Parts: sequence; C-alpha cells; structure tokens
Amino acid sequence: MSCCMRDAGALEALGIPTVILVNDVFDAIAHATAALLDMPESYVPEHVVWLPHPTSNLTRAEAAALIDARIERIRGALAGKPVADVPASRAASGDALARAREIVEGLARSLRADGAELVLESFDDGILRGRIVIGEPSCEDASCIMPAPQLAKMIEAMVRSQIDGLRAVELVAT
Amino acid sequence: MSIEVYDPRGKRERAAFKAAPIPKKVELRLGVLDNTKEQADVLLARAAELLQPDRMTAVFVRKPSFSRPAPPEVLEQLKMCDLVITGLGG
Repeated sequence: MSCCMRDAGALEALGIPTVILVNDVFDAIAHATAALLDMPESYVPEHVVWLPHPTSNLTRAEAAALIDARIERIRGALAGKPVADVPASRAASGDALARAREIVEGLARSLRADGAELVLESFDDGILRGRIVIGEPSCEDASCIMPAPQLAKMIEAMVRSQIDGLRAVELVAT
Repeated sequence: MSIEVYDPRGKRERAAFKAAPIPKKVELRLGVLDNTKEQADVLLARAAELLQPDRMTAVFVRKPSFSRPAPPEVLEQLKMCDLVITGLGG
C-alpha cells in the first residue's frame, strides 16, 4: 500500500491528479507514507477512497457492488470536490476520545505500574485533554514519572495518525 | 596538529509536495494503474466503467509489482493521462 501512495506522489509531481483506493486496514500506513512524502494532512482524506478489508476474496458481483457504493466519492475526488472519507476501522472505533483511550491504553498500563493514572477526559475543537494523576505531593508536574508536556507529546505522536482533526494534546498533572 | 572531521550526516533534498491541479477539459483520459494485487484489476475496471459517462476514456496500465513503486516506464505510459486512479490493498 505504501507503494500506491508513492505512485500517487510521483504522478502528482508529473501534474496528474491521482485518487487511490485503499483497504481500510492500511489506514495507518497510508497516513504515515503521506507524511513521509511531505503531503499535506488533507491529502489522504481528499484523495483516498477507503474500501473495507479484505477485497481479495470478493466475487465479481461483490467487488462491483463495493465500487458502485463508492463511485460518488471517487468521482468527487477526481473532480477536486472530495467528500471527506473516513476508513470504516476508524468509524467503527467510535468517537475520537474512545479511540484515543484505546490507543494509549498500553502507555496507561505502564504508568499505572509506576503508581500514576492517565485519564483522557475530552476531545473538543481538535484538542485532546487529559490528566496524569500522581497522588504524590512531592512529584510536581509528574516529573518523577515523566514531565506532563513530554508525556503529552508522546501521546500526540501515538494518536496523531488515528484521530482526524487532532490539533494538540494538553495534559495537566494533578 | 589539527584533525579534519567529516560530518557523516546525509542530506535529503526533495521538492516540496504539491498536489496537481484538476484539469478543466471536458474529455478526459483516465489512467487506471493496477498494482497487481488480487482483485485490483476488477475493482479498478468497475470504477473506470462507471466513470465512462463522465467522458473519461480509460487507459489501463499494470505495474510489475505491488511491492515496488511504479518504474519510470509505467509512469511514462501514464503521462498522457489527465487523471489517474490506482490502488489497492488485497
């Protein structure tokens, strides 16, 4: 899949607008490759049309139906009037806050082992906000675990490619 | 005695990415780039078929391998196209 994104990059450089059909399981790879190619964040939502994975085992009729259901998205993307598309894997994972919680659960477990609790509380206007609860008065700004701003940057790096419209992660220590 | 030290870091220079403008022509040549994954040809052909009434004439091109970027000769065949549709993921 990363090669399809690279091909799109090469074709755009030749002056040819390109639309890419991508199986939704390759969501993260498509975004990561786009970032590597210095494509703007809007490139993937505007040029990629997502298909439910897998597509290799479909009958001819099922394959046709899949495209039929998305032809307006394809037509719009080719005409430069994209209908922003979200892979089903993201849509199915619920709202952005729930998705962010899922993604950082591994990190939260590690912090719990150090006696801290990571709580993501809201996602509004592109800002994901949360708290790192230390419960240790001498540990200002969670610095005995990891300074809150640094932890926020780490969380931002983890969730950026998975949460549409994310602008920043803000974390306070309590 | 002075020691000459070389900086081992490389440089990566690449032109800034810019998405191509949408052509304003009425009749369009649509490049269909098949990445050779299973069913990619079927799905892309269906899209091309449905786009035919939009005055898009399809030019089908298949690249040698899905695991490598399209080689220059494949891109050369698509140069005549106004738009391209490609994929897929398997």
